[in-house]
Formats: sequence, structure tokens, C-alpha cells
Amino acid sequence: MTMKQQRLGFVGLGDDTASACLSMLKIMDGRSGISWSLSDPDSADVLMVANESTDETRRWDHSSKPRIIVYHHNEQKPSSSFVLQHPFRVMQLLSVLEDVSTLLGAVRAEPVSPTEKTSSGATPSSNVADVGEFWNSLHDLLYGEVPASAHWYVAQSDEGELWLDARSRRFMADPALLKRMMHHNIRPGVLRACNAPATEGAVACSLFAMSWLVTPHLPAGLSSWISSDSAFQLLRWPSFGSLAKSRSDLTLCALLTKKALSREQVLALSQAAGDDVDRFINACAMSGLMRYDKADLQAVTDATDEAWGSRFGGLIKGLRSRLGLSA
Amino acid sequence: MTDGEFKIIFTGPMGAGKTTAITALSDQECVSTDVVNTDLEQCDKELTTAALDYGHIDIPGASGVRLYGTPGQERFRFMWPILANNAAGVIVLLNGQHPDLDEHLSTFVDAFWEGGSMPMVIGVGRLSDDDFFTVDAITEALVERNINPPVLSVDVRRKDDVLLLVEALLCQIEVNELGLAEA
Repeated sequence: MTMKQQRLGFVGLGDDTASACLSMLKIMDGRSGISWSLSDPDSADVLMVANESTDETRRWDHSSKPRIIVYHHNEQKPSSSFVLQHPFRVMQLLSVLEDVSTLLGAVRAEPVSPTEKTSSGATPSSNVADVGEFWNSLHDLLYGEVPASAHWYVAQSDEGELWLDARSRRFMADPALLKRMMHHNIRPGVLRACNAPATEGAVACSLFAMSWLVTPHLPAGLSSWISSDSAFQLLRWPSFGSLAKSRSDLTLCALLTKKALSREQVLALSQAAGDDVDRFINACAMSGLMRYDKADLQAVTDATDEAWGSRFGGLIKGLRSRLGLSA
Repeated sequence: MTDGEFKIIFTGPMGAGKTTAITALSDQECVSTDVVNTDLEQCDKELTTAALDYGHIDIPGASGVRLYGTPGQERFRFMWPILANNAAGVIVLLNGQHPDLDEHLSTFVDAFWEGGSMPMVIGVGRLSDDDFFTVDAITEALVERNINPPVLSVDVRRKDDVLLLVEALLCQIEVNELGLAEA
């Protein structure tokens, strides 16, 4: 990847803030795919603007350039997509600059023509998105060491855009796209910071719902950040809404809300397929519904056909058969 | 629960769809004990259940499954423990658009939860297909009180939705039968 050059301009910031920022940019040099240099605001690609309403800052209120608003801890957090609370650390500055640079389409190699720009200002990375990148970027935004600095993020798919409201942890999308995701392999790509989208006509989709729709298309196995020797416990039943769910999924809910279990114990007790168990764990973990950590696990007896519903014998089996619920 | 008896309770406020759900499952015509509804403010329907609804699912070689619907009005609350006695599980039906949804939730969950020993499923009706958030809000309100039943968005006029409630209940009954100690 060639090193991209970006110019940063300061507007209304005190000398100490600007000076600290320049020192940090020197420290960051080489740690990111972008080389930042100081510029006057008129020729800058990105502006760092004081959270004050002065003639100098107002001049840039309607600028098309991305603006990082710097506010002090005793001030209300601005509603802008890119903000930094002063004093800030190198990693926080690095994070917000990388978010801005993805908005500019600078990180992922080739520049695009203006007609290829999306409505939200982000640029598609390629024609065929990698759903694994979407999944990893979502995890980094929600649970990474550096929290999401922007309010809105967008993922491109071959059939439309998905927007993530990082504050409420909800997705927004065209209802037709969500409906298609329920039945087809729609592959959203990596999430990138963006300006607030025009969401007229879009509907909200919960984090669990989006995770449930995406997980069937991930590579097999548990997500890379989930240790397979963890103890898994479901904090509550997920809200499936109109999402497709099987008896196996309901059984996993019932089991894992009851007791913390290892993956092997879940497999033995539920008699579910490994892929189904992994999908369930991945989706619930991403949406914050699954606790997973190393713990001493109590031994449990493997479930046999006789153990399932032993008190009621064949009654439950008979009821399922009568109601057409047999798997 | 006596051997061979398997009883499922449908409860919830007036107009939530208890009679409809039992009718969808029962092999015989649902037995109802309707009276004229004098509480039109709560629910605008002509008749309401005073004592119970009853339906039955025949299971070859077994005594079958009994389906009981409780009266929805609190003035008939004395019937609730009578019907719940020895039940295998409870399905609570709620109207997701009712202004007193929170109060209904507390009333019926508290009456039947029995400290978690009674398998329970909550079905919330009259929500749009893409409304994940009302169900989330209900679930989270219950989790704050250490109550953790499944909450599902359903339309009890659709038999598949009623079957989903039954399946979620059966899964819990089966897991309870495994004898796993609570975490």
C-alpha cells in the first residue's frame, strides 16, 4: 500500500493544543497508512476545529471538509461525527484520523471518481465485499481497545448500504435490503466512518438481528476473538422478531440461559450441529448477549435421548408430532 | 403435575388473544366461559372469559395435552392459581400496543413466574415485523428483575406463531428436565 498524504489544518485551537497535536503526529508517523502534515485551513484536507463559535470557526461551519471538533471535558460533547475531548492521547488522535481518512477513501488504495462516491460520502472498497471484514470491523468498533470515535459508520454491500449508529448500536437500512438479507447472501464490507446519512425511508435493525443475518455467511467456527475453551452463558434470550430460528436455536437459548457451559458441553447437551452452535455463539457474543470467559466448568452429564423429557416420556415427542413441530 | 397430565396455561390481559391461541391448537372446539364485557375501556370486545377457556390436544397413547386460558381481568384473578396448579408451563400473551403494557407485564409475570420454577414464554402481539425494540425493552425490563423468559413477537391469528410459543416452552421444559443447576 502506498503511503497517502493528507493535510491537517487547525481552526481556532490554542497554541498549546496545536503544538501537542503536531508532536503526536510526529509520534504517529509510520504507524498508520497515512502521512499527516500541517497545512493552512484553506488547503487542508481535514480540519481540527475548536468547539467555540467565533468568526474563525463559523467560517468553516458549512465546509465540505471533514471537521474534527475538539471540545473540553467541561463542555457538552458536540453532535459532530468526529470529535476529540481535550486533552487527548495519541491513540485517540490516531483513531479519529483513521476514521476520517476512511471517509476520505484514503486508506484503501486507489482514488475513486466523484461519481463512485456513495450518498453517505464513503467509498466502496471493492465490488465484492468480504463479510469477514464487516464482522471484524464491527467488533473493533464495539469492543476494540479504542472506542468508536464517530457517530455513524457505513458498510457497502452489492445491494445497498448499511449504516451503523455507533451510539445506539443500531443499524439503519432500506427495508428492502433488510428483507433480502433474510433470504439471500448479502455481503456488507468493512464499516467506515461517515457523515450522518439521510435515513428517510430507512428502518432500524437491532445489533442482534444484523448479527444473526450475517453470521451464516462467515467462515466456519467461532469468531477469532472468542476462545473455544470459554464458558458461555446467555444473559437473556435474544429478540428474534421475524428472523428465522430453528428448534435448535430455541434449545440453545434455553440451555445457555440456564447455565454457563463449554462449547463441548453445549454440543453434547443440545445435540445441535457444531456450525449452528458457533453461529449462535458468534451472533449473541457480538450483540452483547453472551458472556464468555475462562471459568471452572462443572461437569454435566451428556444428554441422551432418554434424558430429554424423561419425566414426560414420549409426551413431548408426541405433542411435537401432533403439532407438526418434529424436526 | 400428576403423572400423565400435561397442562399448558395461556394467560394475559383481556383481548391479548388467549382464546384465539387455544382455538388454533385444540383438537376440539374451545370450551369458553364467556360473559358480557363490561370493561370496554380496557378492551373493546363484546364477550370476555370469566372463568376459563379449555382446549385439548389428543396424543395417541397418552392422556393428551390440556390447554387452559385464564380470565384476563384482575377481578377474576382468584382463578389464576387454581388453573396454574400443576401446569407444565405458562404462555403469557400481551398486546404490544396497549398503553398499560408495562403494568400488564408485571401483573401476569409476577403472578405466574414462581421464582423461575415455572417455564414461561411471553408473546407480544400487534408489533410490526421489524420492531425488535419493543421486545428488547420488555426483555431488558424483566432481566433487571432477574426474570429471564423468552419474549417473542407474535400474531396469534397465525398458527405458526402460536406453535413457536409452544416450541419455546417445550424447549425450556426439556432443559429443566435435564436437571442442570442454575448458574
